[in-house]
Amino acid sequence: MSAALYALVPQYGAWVVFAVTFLSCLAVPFPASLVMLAAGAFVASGDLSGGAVVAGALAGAVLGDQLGYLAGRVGGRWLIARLARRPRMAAWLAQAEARMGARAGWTVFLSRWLVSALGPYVNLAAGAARIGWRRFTVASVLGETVWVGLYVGLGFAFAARIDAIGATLPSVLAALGAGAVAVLLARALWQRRPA
Amino acid sequence: MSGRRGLVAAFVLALGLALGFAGHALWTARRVAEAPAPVEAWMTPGLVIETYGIAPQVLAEVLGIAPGSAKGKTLAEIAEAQGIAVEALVARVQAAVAP
Repeated sequence: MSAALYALVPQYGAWVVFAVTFLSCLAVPFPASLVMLAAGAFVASGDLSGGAVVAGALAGAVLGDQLGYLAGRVGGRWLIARLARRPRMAAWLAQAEARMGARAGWTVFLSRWLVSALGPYVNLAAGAARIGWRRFTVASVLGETVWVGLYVGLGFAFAARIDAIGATLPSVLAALGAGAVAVLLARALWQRRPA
Repeated sequence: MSGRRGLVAAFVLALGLALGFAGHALWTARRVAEAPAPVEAWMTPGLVIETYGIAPQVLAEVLGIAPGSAKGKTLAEIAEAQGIAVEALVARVQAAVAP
């Protein structure tokens, strides 16, 4: 699949990056990180414009986040209850909802790039919890800027070995996700330590 | 207490997974990096030049195109435009970039 996606990037440029980041922020399982890596490599090779790639990726991601937030605002509890029927989504949603408190801004920011699989569900939870739109948007834009900058930048810097980066990326993302969960659990254990 | 025990088990599992995936990432990166990157049909002439350091003029001759004329075109598109098999073009480029 990665080969087919890589082939689309130089052909359709910033549009395919826009489409993939937009869809991934709506929980459609597209490997947006791989596509951004490839786009960064094609910027390094002179085939694509860096400005257009970054703008496309950022626009798609922010628009996807806004739609997810809006869906949470409008659909709210009904939508979350429907999605929570699927066990895997229920787990992600439960995590997202648990974080919609004083640290909502940090949760939105970190779920854009550190635990990006959580991102779409945080959007829904933030809308349903009626987290302020301005607060959500600032955290979302900052987080997506980190996400886009990180992956397009990696692709640009390591264009000559995009195959190696692409092969290791899934394990790196999984390690980050499991590591983030471990940190949260460690924090919970610390709070519940015997007196 | 059983709740805390469950948290400990979950923490150990998450930590083990994190370390396991990190180790796998390092092993994969090392294994892939040891072998030279293969030429792929989705690569553009620009990316081939970037990856292998081949001179643009030399690559253009191998591809049968004018230098700089295929910006944004993949090797597959170049092969299709010339009516030749993609595998044949990729093999020609692979031979040209071989150390």
